[in-house]
Amino acid sequence: MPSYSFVLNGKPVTVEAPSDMPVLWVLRDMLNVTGPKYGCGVGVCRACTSHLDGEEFQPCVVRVANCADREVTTIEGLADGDKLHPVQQAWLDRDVAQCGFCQPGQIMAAAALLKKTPQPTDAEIDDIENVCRCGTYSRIREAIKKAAANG
Amino acid sequence: MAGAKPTVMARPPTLGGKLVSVDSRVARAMPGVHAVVKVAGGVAVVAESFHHAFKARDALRITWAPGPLVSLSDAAIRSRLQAAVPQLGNPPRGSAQTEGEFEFAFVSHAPMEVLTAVADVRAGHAEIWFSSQTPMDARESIASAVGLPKAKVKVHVMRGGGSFGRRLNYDAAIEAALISKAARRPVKLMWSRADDIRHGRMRPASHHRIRASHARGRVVAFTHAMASVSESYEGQGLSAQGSARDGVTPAVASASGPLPSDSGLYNFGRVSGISGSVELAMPLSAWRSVDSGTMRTAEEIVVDEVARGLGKDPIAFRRTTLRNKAVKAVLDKVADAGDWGRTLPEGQAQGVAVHEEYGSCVACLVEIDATDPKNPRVTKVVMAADVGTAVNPRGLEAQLMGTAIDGISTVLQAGLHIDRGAVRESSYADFHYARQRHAPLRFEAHIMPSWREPGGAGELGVPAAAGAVANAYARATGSKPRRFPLNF
Repeated sequence: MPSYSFVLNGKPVTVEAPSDMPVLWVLRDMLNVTGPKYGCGVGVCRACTSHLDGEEFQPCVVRVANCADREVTTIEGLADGDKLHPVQQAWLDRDVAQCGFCQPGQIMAAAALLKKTPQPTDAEIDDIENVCRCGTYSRIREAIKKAAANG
Repeated sequence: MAGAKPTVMARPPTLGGKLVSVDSRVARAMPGVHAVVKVAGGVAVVAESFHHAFKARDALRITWAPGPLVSLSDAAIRSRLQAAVPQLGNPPRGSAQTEGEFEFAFVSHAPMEVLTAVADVRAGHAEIWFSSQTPMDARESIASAVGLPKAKVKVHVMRGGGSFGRRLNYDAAIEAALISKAARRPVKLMWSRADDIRHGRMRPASHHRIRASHARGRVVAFTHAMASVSESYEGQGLSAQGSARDGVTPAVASASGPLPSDSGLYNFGRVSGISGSVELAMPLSAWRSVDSGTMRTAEEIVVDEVARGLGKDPIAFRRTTLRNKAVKAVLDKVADAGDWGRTLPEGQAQGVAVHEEYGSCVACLVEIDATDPKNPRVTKVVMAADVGTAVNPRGLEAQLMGTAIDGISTVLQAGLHIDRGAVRESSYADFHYARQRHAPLRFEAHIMPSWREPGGAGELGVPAAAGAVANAYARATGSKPRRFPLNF
């Protein structure tokens, strides 16, 4: 069994896993990191959205081999210790979550957007593909704008 | 539950397809595979991770027999539904008629969190962990399925993702119990997204025929006849066992009878309703707002068409015919807050609808940009609700926001096709539930002050939102929306 090392939420980890194993299942079933959710397995619902070297990615369609020697950040690693990321704080301030299942992915997608585009337009926010079956989209939009305003 | 291993199912391509034979030699020899067992509905693989389980599932060589609906596709289902709609009867003598026929496709619940269940079934007792809207019924059914007395079955109700009616049924819990029993080990079952979309459950498809009879500028009779697909149960399959038949309101009336929600919102003279059904072996279930999501949506479209026929403004017409002051008040609220009647460019329009149920009422005003009718965008939604005392106003606002998205999705773009007894869609790539780019750029919810006893609010907004989206689309495009979703 091949072995892969990467940095997960700031800490080095090494796993023995098949090279084609999606990193979602490495995170969830081997490392017990369950923030990234399974919602489709084909990269379209984006409930698993996390960051790879600081950019948004979907762990359900990226093999663990492609994460070797790179930095993976999940929702568990977004805050700076006890200090929430501005997007997480905006999410709480705007009561965004309903059932909450898609929200780790939504927050990670929003954080990645703001990193690239600190003052996103409505059209740029529209490009977020993450599905929310509870329909929290309006509050997601508000929270992203609030986080953008708070820097 | 320590030791419960990831488990997935291989399922037939068609609804209700049956296993003929399985060659599991390759799958069993794969690394990380703990068990392969046959259960009702397919073949289960228990493995070290979900990756190993999916890989082994895909290595199974299975021959399936087609399900009972293999000769049936959408067109045939639509004609059977149309034929099952009872006759409207004769209109009052001397009246003029505004009539419409409406069709709604099947809709998946598609909960973000797929169905899951952890089961540990032993010789003399069983424990199951899953999220459920009906745990008491589930316990009885699980006990019966695994052959244990009810007292020996312990059900743990877990917190679960929103499922909009899907977890009234406990198919996955029964399935997990049967797999655990057959594999003789604790299992952690997860349905894949394709399992969820292709094998249900779904909101039943329906057909509606509505007639408003008017004379001297007033509606003097209003009749709504409809038919929907209802679930037939053949034998003691998993579908029958996992269904919430006892103790829970069924998704649809199974035979002709009075409609459940001919609420008499309006002073429309003689109001009547009648329903029929087409029984098919399909996995169905109540979907947020149940029958009102289709019936009241269609009725609100007819109300707009009556107003247009009489040369009246949709809000002014409703205001003169609504019975209940509280409904008039929420309507006035959205008209005022949403700046009803403001001038919009060509291809854009406002639409409105109201609904009353669960001791509550709601109005919804929508602005739509349908410049490209194939790719419309709801740009603004204003809702007002009177639910009595609003215990959690932010939560209520969130519920209304969610129902607005349900209305946009079901009216404009999200549905399931049936092709030769199988569901065509298999993920959010083709089941087009709304995303951020379909959601309104502006959303407002107004909660009417009240000290009345609290009413219901979780499902309340769906028919008003769906009706308002349809009415706005009609006004923007000059069309008469009849078949939903409109872009399908």
